[in-house]
Amino acid sequence: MTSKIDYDEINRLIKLLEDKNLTEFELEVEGFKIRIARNTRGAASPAPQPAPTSSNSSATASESANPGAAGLEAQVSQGQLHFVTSPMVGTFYRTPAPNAPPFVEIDEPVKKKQTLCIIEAMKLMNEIECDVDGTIKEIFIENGKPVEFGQKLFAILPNA
Amino acid sequence: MKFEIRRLTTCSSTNDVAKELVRQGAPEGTVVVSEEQTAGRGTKGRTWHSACGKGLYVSLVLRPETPEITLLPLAAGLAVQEALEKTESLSARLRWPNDIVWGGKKLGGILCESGFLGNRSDYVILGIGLNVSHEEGDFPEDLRSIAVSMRMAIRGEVDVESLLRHLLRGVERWYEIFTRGECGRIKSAFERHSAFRKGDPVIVMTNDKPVQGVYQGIDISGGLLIEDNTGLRRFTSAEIMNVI
Repeated sequence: MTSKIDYDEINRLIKLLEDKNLTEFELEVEGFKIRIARNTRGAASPAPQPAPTSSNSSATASESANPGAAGLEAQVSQGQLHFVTSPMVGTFYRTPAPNAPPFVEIDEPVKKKQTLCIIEAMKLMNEIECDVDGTIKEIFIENGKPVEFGQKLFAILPNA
Repeated sequence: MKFEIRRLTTCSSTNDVAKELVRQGAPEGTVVVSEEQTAGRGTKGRTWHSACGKGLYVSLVLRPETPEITLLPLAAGLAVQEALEKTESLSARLRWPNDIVWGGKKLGGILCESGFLGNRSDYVILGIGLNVSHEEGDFPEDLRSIAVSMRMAIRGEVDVESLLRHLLRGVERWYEIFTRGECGRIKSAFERHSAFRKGDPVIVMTNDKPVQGVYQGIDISGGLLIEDNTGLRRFTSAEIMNVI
């Protein structure tokens, strides 16, 4: 994140979204881009992203494969969820091969070191492994879509 | 780097063996070499033709500390290019991001696979496949017009052991450059040995659709730069199909 917008600023933007009853808000300031969207059933879900440098890896990536994402975060308090984010800019794959079944599904239990997805960049296939034991509560990106560095991929409810 | 080489007569894929060794805690510098792969893999689930005793099929385990590893496949390409030059004075070219080409035909390829535990890089496997001693008839019919071997290129026998030695030295050298953070050096060397020159008209296949534009080199993270009628665009997941 750049020094242009800090955490307090993001919180103010979220409040603005709620006060004005908006469902989506996007702001681009000198190399920094943020899109905040909320589901009317749940809480606002900030999704700060570095500004893209091309349309191929752009922030037009679908942020949530499931429209109920914000609703989920209302059901489970934010503090309880563990988010796995993308370590790089690339393409998100839920399956090990084009016709293979997905690595994981929503509501499935997962173990530490279990593969969750592949992020491909420069033909480098990066297996993203789970770093906690828990249950998959949300998958934010659709198969084959571009992802940005730091973008949320999975919400996991860690085992108690 | 201390290399520990495991030689196999046959295996499904050297990357698969290396991945299993990683799971057992294999250290950086672990190398798997096989005379044959029964299920050699390319990217996106494609197969890699791996005839017995005809190619060099090798995988190396690295344990980089940085999670910013996207330049590693390109650095591996430079190591291969250097090894070909030193072993047989063969001037191969690099086709972004992971092909080794000679005379416009595919001489080899690189399949890099990595593991992240959350956001922390755990391992990288550099898988390298080179066509070494194939005659044209050794390739399946559908590959004959697009594949070439070192033997076909130099019209002579190839010293495979010398090739492996130079390859490991090359990987060590370029990996040191990578770990020192000299990304600009990797970028400029890759551009120097690229099969494309800046200004070449190309077609790039993306996940969505083909993009027609002009090759403008790579950026500091290894992303492909293409200029089209919308401006300069950066690609991380694409293939350069051909010069128009």
